[in-house]
Amino acid sequence: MPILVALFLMPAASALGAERFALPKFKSGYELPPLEVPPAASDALEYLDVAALAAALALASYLALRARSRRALWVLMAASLVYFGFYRGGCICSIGAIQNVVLALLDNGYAIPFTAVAFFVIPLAVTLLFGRTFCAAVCPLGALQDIVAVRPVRVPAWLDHGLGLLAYVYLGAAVLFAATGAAFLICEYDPFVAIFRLVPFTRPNAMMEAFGGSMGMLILGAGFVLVGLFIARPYCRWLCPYGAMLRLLSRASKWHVTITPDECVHCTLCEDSCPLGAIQKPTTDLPRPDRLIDRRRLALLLILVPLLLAGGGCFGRYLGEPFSRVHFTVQQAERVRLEETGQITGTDDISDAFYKTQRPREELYAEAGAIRGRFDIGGTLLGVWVGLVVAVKLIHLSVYRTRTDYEPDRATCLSCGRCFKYCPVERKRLKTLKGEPTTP
Amino acid sequence: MTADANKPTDADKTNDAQQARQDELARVRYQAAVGTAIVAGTFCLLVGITLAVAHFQRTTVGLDESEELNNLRNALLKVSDPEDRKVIREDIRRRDLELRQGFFGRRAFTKTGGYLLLAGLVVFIAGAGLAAACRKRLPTPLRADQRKPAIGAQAARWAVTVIAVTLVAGGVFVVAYYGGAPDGEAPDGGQAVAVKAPPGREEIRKHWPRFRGPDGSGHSAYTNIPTTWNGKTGENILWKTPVPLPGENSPVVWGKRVFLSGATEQKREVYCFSAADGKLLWQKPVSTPASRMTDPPEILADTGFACPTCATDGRFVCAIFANADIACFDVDGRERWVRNLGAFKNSYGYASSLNIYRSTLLVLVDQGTPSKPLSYLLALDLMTGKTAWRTERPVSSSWATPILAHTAKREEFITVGCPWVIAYNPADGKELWRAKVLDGDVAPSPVYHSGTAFTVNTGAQLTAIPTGGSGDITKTGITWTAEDGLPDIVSPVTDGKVVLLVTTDGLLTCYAAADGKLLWEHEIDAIFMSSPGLVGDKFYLMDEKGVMRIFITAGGYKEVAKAELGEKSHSSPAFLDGRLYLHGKKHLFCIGKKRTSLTGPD
Amino acid sequence: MPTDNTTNNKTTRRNLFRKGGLAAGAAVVTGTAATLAAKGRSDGTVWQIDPEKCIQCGNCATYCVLDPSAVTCVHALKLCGYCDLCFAYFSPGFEPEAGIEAPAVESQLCPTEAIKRRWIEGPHYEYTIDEELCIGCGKCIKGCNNFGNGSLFLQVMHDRCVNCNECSIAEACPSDAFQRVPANHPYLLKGEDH
Repeated sequence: MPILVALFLMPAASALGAERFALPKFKSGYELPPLEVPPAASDALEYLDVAALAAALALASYLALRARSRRALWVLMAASLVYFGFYRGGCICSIGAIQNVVLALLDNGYAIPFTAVAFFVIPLAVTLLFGRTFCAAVCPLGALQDIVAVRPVRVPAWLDHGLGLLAYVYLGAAVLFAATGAAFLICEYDPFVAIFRLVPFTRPNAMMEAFGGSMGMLILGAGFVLVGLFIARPYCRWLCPYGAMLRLLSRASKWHVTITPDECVHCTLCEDSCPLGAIQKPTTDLPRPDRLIDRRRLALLLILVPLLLAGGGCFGRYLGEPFSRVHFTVQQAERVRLEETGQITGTDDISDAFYKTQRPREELYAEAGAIRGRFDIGGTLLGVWVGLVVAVKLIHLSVYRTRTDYEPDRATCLSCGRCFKYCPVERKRLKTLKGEPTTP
Repeated sequence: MTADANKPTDADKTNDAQQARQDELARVRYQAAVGTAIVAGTFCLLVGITLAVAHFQRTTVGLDESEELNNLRNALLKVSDPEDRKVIREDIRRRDLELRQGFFGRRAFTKTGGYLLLAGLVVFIAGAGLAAACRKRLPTPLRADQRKPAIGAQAARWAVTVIAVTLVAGGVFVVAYYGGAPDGEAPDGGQAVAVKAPPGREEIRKHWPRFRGPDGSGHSAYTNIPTTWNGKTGENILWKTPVPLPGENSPVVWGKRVFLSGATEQKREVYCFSAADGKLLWQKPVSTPASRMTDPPEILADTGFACPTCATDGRFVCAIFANADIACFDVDGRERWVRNLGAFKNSYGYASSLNIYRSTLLVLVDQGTPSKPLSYLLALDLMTGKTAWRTERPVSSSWATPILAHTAKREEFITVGCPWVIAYNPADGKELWRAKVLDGDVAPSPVYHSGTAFTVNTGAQLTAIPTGGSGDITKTGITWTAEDGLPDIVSPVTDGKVVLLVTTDGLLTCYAAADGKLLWEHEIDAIFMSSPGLVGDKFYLMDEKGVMRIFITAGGYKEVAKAELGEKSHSSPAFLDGRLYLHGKKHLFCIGKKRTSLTGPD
Repeated sequence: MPTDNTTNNKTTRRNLFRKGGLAAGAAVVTGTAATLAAKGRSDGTVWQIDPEKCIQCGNCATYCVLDPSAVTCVHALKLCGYCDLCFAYFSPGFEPEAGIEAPAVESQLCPTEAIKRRWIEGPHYEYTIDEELCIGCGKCIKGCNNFGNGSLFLQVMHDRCVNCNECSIAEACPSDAFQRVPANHPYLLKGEDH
């Protein structure tokens, strides 16, 4: 109980209201200047981007399928590198747009920009019609790698097949993290965006301070460029998640680039021309493998499919928890929890930010728990997806296909046009070959 | 095309010279390309090394991180002589200029180096590409009988298997390295379980959840309360525990826990004691950014910084302090939320105690002057501390605590202020009725008994108001008023038959509850700050020195017992099963017969 | 299976697979496009800082892909107290000193002297931000939040921001203060909503 010995009132406290110091009442006629902020940049450039993308795709398809000109494709590729890469900073690109689309499909609160939809859908549609001409001459990431591929060595087919799986895994992981709202992995680990933006050079400050950020990305990019001198397009072949989708669509494409403009004469000249190992040899001059063993193997693999899916799913569930720690809210909840239970003393920026909101901890924990739940499901699905990819790949490798001609593997062929000039039939068409093409 | 240069042709021998010249040209071209690539490559390497060395040799990162400059600034702060100041100031300005020039120079250096590196790389790629093109191998097709069968599929299957196993291994690593909650405790598991439902009225009656007990009128639910004790000899003192920081608030008790708060100008704390042995179970500081940055409020020393009594519902305990910090902890001492309500414009210091109603915390903030009232009733969500609702009040500063009355048809939250007594619906803050019966600095809290609320303040009157009304009932709805022996601090107490008033200087006045007839008066030579309690038919009244008088009213004042705490106290007693808790100036006392055991849930 | 005339059969089967794949692929692509279109064409989003969440860690100055950063300090003058002793302007411990017209580096908090101080009347000064100089470090904001009205705050300037798909400051933000906001309402300004 208070004591009220003396009945007096304290002098009135300072000015009232939300602010500690009230806005003065100016007598000198001073007028409060309005708060001015610069308007948002015009989005005209975004429409130009979409138009440029559509035009470049149409041109690339024409040059690869009709004009069959490697040189023209190279020029278009360089132009794409300059415009989409260095001028537009490699952002937004079709690869990254996967994440915007996934987020838009799962999160109703996210408004997907029109450009993201266009960049995602248009190359898919074009690939369905003409094959991966997008990769050949439009994608700036591919263009950069293509240009630096000075002395590509042949990567053994078996290694190519094996590493090719990684792209599907990366795709699955990128979808998982985008769907849970945790991160845009593809953008975060885009190895070339630091080069496109010339970040460490225009931004020496960033180079100095953010070693884990743009500098790390630059080192990653430099690594890909160095490897790319000797191995053509390492990112495109083994990591690119959009390329993984294009591989599937390209298999079913309506039209596709061919090595020869006419009938294959089996001259074998084109055999080693592809730095991506995308040329498939005819099987006619080789003995057919033992069919009984093949069938047994296939049967075994088919039995293995559900096991792989189930195993992947079970294993993926365990991954949900560590993966969920990528999400900011989960990190914050864990930090706050550690502080609350006294396992860590003192606060850091993350927990300070939470305390500033004055929300109850339980609310944060509940939110983090819900996110973890989503990761449990997502991790399971990712595991199933990886199991499925491995199973399909193994089955695919175990089905014998007859080929009578040299033809591009529709999945891995990028329609770059390097093989054209090796074909004597093509040379005859271009009238740079005297005499008739022959078979050795 | 360069490749054509090496291509065997069907040319005549006479073309040999021309062929040789072409070969020579191709060789020169190749050497030039290789040379360019080597030079550009070396250049890139050198630029890269220089940049890396410069990067690691840097001494500062940002613009503003010079230790030296900070020291100079600190030196400047300590110096008062104008001449010395000038010297240091010049020193700072010169040094700062140097540092900035160094910083921007380094940035320009890095930028230039970066562009040189990039240009070098472009030249290198061009040169190397040209050189590679010069040395392009021609395809050398084999005849069909020279070819080896492809080993593709089998090896590829193995490669796929190896990659799959590697992925699993990577996954195992991720789970092992990043998986598992820190120290095996899941952040969402364990203690963060769903909060229990708020206790019911019957449950609340078993405890002492707020100032003056479950109904706020000082009524004990138990009759087995000791009447004799002695703080000096230790008679019937079960335990006494020192309270770290001072505070005029009264103990609140739920199950095995006793809560108090304490504060000084700088520090604010909430305490939880074990009811069994008085052990300090936890002690938590309360601090908000606002309180850290603002000056402590000007208050009366006798009110203190921790005058309001805490409130608990067995799940949470809430405390409010004179500087407007308000905090909520769970009963295990985990802070749930804390906020600051903004400096109170309330002379003497904030004193109204807290109330928990279901899942809201009701806070009465009466401040301002009669001409400019700034008062409001605030309901905070117990879980989050967010404002659930807020009702503005037409009254000036007051120091009384509202009570929750369970009337025949509804619940009424009865508040007193100057000049209005107002009853609100505790669920939404809507006003039920009001009466203009008070005046001055209102400090005695209202009491309620079976359909009638009694309000009183010195300079006004004692008023019996039947609850359940609506609108302004000043003229129509008042049962009786009386004007003798009006208290200025001590709250009244009623047993339904009589209403007892106690003034600070020791005048006890007893009225008949039904009609307001003055029954008796009695004077005690002591000073009273603490509000009386009622156990059965016995009144418990403690004076400032800690002497408890226990008496009954049977035609007059009849003292039953007198017990000494041996320590000054302003707080009101908390009555539990066989026990009595008192907050002295320095200690928390638990009074009871030694054999009494604890009851009630945890 | 593989006899002479099965080659044609196989080719047919492969073509059949391909046609099925083509139809399925077309269905998936158009389906996705239709779903996204049905969600309503939006003008998209831009990045912005929620001033209520920002804790002025300093990452905005260093993590942006631009130099200087697209984030600068904004001053809501209608929330400002026009104090003489401004904790956003003066280094801790320093007070406006008599005899010095323009307080310089020794007593200023801003590392780039981007806060301009102008006398209005009595003890009241107007403080404005020179956006050309501001690097978005947030030092002044801390001072203003701790001791003043909190009228200063950080915002992404949309004449500078290149709107990366994943903002690199947002990645580094320890308080999750970066959020995507509708492009037609690109700012979260203090003191403008009420």
